[in-house]
Amino acid sequence: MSDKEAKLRASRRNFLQSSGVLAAAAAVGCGTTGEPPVSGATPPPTSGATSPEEAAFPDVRPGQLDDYYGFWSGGQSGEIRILGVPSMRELKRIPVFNRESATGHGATDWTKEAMGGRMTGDTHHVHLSYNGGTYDGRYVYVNDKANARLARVRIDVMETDAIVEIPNSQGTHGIFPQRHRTGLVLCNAEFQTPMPNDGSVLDDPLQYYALHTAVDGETMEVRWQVKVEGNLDLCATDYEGNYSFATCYNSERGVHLEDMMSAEQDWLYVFNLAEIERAVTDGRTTRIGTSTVPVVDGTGDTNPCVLKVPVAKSPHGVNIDPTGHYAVVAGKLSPTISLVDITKLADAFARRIQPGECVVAQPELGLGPLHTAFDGRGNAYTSIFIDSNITKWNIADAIRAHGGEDVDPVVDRCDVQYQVGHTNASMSETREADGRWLVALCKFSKDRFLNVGPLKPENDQLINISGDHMQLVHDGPTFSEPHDAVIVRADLIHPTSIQNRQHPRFAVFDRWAAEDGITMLTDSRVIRKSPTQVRVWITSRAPSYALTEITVKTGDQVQIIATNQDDVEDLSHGFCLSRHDVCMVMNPQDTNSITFTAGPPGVYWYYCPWFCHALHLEMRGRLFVEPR
Amino acid sequence: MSTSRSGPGGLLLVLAIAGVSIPARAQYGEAAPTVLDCATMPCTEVLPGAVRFEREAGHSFDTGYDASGQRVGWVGLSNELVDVVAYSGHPVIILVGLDATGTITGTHLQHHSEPILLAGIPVAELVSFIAFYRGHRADEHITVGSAVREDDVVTISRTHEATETPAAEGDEQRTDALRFAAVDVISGATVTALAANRTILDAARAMGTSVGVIDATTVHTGRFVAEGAPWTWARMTEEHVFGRLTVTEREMDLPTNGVFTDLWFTIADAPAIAAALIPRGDYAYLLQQMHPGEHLVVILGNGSSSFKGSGFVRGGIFDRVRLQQGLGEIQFRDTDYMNLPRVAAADAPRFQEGAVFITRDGHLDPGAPFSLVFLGSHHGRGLDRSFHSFEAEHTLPASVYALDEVPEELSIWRQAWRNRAVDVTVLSIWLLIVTGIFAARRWTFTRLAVLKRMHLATMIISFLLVGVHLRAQPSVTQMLTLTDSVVHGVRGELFLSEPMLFVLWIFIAVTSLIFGRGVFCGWVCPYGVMSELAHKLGRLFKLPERELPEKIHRRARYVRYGVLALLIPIFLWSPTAGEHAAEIEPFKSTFLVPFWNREWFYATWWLLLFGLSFVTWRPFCRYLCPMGGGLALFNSFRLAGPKRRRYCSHCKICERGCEPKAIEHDGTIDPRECLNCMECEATYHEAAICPPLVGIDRLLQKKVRTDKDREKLAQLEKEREAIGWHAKRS
Repeated sequence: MSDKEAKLRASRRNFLQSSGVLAAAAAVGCGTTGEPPVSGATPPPTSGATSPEEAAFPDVRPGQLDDYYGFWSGGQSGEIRILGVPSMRELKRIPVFNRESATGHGATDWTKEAMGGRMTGDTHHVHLSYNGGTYDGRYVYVNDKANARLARVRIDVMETDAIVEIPNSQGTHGIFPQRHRTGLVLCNAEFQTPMPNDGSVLDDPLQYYALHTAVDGETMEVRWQVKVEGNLDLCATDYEGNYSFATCYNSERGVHLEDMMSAEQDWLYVFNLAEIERAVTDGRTTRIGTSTVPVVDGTGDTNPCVLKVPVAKSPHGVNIDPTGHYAVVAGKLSPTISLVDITKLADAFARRIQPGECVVAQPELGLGPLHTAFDGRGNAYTSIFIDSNITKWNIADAIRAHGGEDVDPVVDRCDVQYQVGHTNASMSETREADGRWLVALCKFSKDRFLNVGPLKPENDQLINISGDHMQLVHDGPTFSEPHDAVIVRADLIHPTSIQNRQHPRFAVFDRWAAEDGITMLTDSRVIRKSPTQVRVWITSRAPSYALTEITVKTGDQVQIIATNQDDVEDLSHGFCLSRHDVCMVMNPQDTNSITFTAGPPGVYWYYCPWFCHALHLEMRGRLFVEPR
Repeated sequence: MSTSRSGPGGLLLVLAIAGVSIPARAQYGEAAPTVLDCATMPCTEVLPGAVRFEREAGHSFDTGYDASGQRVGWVGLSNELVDVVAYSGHPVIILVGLDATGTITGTHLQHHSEPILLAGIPVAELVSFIAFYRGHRADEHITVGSAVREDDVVTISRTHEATETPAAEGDEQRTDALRFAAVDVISGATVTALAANRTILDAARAMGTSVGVIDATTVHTGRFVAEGAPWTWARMTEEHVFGRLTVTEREMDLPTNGVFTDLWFTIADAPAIAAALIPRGDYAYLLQQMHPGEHLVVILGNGSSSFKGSGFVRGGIFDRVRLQQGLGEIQFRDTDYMNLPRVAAADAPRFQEGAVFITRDGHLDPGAPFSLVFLGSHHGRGLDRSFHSFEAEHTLPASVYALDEVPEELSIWRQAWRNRAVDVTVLSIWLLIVTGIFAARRWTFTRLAVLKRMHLATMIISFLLVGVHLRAQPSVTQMLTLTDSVVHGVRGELFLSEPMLFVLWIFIAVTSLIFGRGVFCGWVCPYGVMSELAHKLGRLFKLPERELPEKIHRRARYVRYGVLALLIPIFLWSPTAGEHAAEIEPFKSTFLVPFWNREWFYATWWLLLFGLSFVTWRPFCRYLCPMGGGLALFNSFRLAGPKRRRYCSHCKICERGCEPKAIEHDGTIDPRECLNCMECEATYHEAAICPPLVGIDRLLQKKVRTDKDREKLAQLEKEREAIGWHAKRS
């Protein structure tokens, strides 16, 4: 320090009220009226701090943080992504069902085991665990349509925690956790299959069924399944823990496109959870094939566990409004939305009313309605695929129109580019829907971005819905191929920065360490376990490994168990071994392990692939492979 | 304060008292040491076992290691750690050792400026006082001079009420009963003792909290009271929730003059404040992360420089901001931190950056002032980098954090009053009785014999009670300190820190104004009455009386003004020298330290004056007492002095009987000399003594009265009526 001086002052001047905030910028109106968006949006009730004059365009400056976490599914990439909303900056990718080079997911010992050797996945729907109708910030659940699995990500460390295979299912598509607490996660089988699917039945579609599966959100064990006819597409749960929902676009039980779209009406399946649990408890279940999971028969038209509510043709999305009162079922092949009054379902189950009497409104919104989001102010926002817009409509007005009043429930429309699939809004799937931002996950981007060749990004567009009129404020390119996203208030999500060593996956390391008499955080040692097996305990602290030389024999099965001693935020290390397809990450205070077969005799450098220090490049060591 | 440190030269006279070696003389008046130097200071004594001492970077004390290199504890010099002034206005400098359990391992008096310990109380008293602390924990609640009372039990309770937060697990409360001890006060040096107590404890706590061996539980008890609905930004600024630290670029020696940094900071534990600043889910999360005793500190910043910096230094430490409270520091690191990009309150302005920190490192007392320290830096030419440190202090408003009570340990004078409550009461009652006797003198002073007995009794009681028992002897030094205060600034606490003297001086002020300073000097002043009692003994034993000749007396009585006139400049020049010079008063040797315990010259002086008192009426009071002189100066006027009659210039009875020779030949009383014995007034009412009354009596007894007799009688009666207790002044 060339000059250090102390100046002592205390100041308590009145703050000069300054507003460096621009007034609402000129609007790129996308509503039918072409009017500019109305400022003076209702300030959000919670973390908002949006001043009324704040621009409709997102304003997240360098050093500032987004108000929301966005959890995006990654489609056939098999991963989950975290975006900041409204900046739409991609913050992280969490590998789930996919082999991922940077972190070693799918290559490290425990991920390899968890993934069961399958390195592909197709994630469509991400949903977070709930408590009391809002997010409790503990888990993210995601489906794998490709391999019929459900995975869970722990939010505290943002890494995949458990993967469970859904027995006797294919096309595990819609999933939804219960919202009253972290309870069941319900999973739909979109593809109906023979039960059991052991080759005894092949081309006999009438013997195909679909399963509605309940996985325990805490233990990640499959609790029970319900067998139904047709198929099960999107999934939803109510806010009370009484019902789960599934759309069925193939009530025809068809196996070809034209069969599946033939009927004018299909079903909304409603599952009576208490009744199902009772059947399971009473043992009124069967087992399918080798699976030990109890299966409840949900077929037939008067099943006490399952209600078929007739809805407009080939329904897709089913979404529950934040009051918990209505299920909004989108018709896909019909312009019609079916609004199902959840409070009437008990009567329908009791056969006091017909299932169809639960439908209390059927507004026609446009061609190809798919999914619906909510703003907490009584409005719904439905993505319209063929018309390629988001249509905002008022639920109360739709009911009044259904009752014969001359009101148009449609409030506003916003064109999106191009062909929107899912849509979701900030906190829309909770009781705390706050109506600030909506994303439209468009399936095609075409000319919206610089041309990057035949395979183009999707276009996840951001729309400000805080005013009376929707305003498109951002185009967000995403690569293959998010389906759904949830937008979660940032103050509900609190990951750690330092690895929590109490994580269950440390159990195996603890066991191995006890076996070898190792204290993981301090010890480094090469232990020959058998003539062909070597275990290497190695610690790292920027900028060096505790072992800079490791000697093995060619053909040895070598297990590297590496522990990062650094406990400083964002100081990850890694272990990457030349010419061996070995690379993994060790986050601060983390332990990770990877097993490989030592190659031909020679010297192989291993190094830290995650930048850690000014001497990062020098952080390396040699693996001596001796001839056998 | 001295500016340079002197080594322990030959002036250090090592005395062995109670097994403790003390440099007795050099502790006083020598240049005070400013920096700990274990090469010359007895660090090994205060931290037994340590042989090597090193100062760690950033510490203002040394770490001690034993021969094997193991850390034993820490040693600090109090003036490097705390800022507590003692009676002298200067610190008592004490070497304090602390071990890893937070226990004080030793104390050593390094330096003091306390006059009382030079002139009067042996320094060994302070040394043994200081020795008490060895073996006590630094976070013990040690009170000086009083037994621990039940209500001294300080409890610290902290309540999180996050009413709207689902994650809040109800109330989280902690109650810590602190440990207690009491140390005996040093008689006659209460302030010194209280100051030493604070010096030792605060120094040990400063070290202990700095190294983390003491979970310095708050000494102030209080609680966050801002609850309910979140406050608006407007209300928060209006009620001074935030401290603010603004630094311009020019103050950073930059060529531009924009805002370099503008930091707003506060402690945000209170639910209504937290909700206004922090998103509620984050608040609920932070509460889960916090341990008892930790707090949430919010810092919001604007300006061309970031308070977070662009490179979190190795270890995740935030090197640009820290908190300071007293000498305790709180640093922040990444794991204590949450980014606060935006203030939750809707009417809040937008800040460039914000942070919520949990005070994990060190202890923050939300009831006391705390400072935000900002270390600004910028690049100069080449690799030069210049650093400037800025600091702003802030105290949470009572509307956010309410103290349960004013912390007693920190308020020396309050403790002094509490400690001496009984004594104060007894003294006050006695002084009220004396005042009452004077106020009711129409009835009490009507008979000379009664008056004399009453005066004698009062003097005996005053001597025994005020002097021998309470040791409350006012002194000219208090007048000098008052003068010093006028010149150098008032230290109100100093006057309040001696309750006995405070009460006495109020008594002196009130009675002097009404009746004359003689009420104190003649009836209450312990030394004065002792001197007079000695004279009475002398008479009893028929010792010869020796008075100065009239002429010399008339001149000599002005000497005391001269003494005072000399003392004032000496005291203003050096309180220490003034204190020495004030030893012309034999008071200390009388009541605080017996003369036989004092140096020969003090003892001789005392004996001389005391011996003289047997044969001369109050020799010190009349000729030398600078305090009496000072009081007399203000006593040219009094509201209700002894009353006089017109005839008095003739009979001279009172004048002859007036011991202080305050009655002039013309019958008037010099209020500066009068000691309010009131004998002259009582004489009036003695029909057998006072000539006019004798005259009345004689006339009344005449069987035949002439007109002239009647005229004279009427005159006398009228005169008698007229005296009353209201009309006439001396």
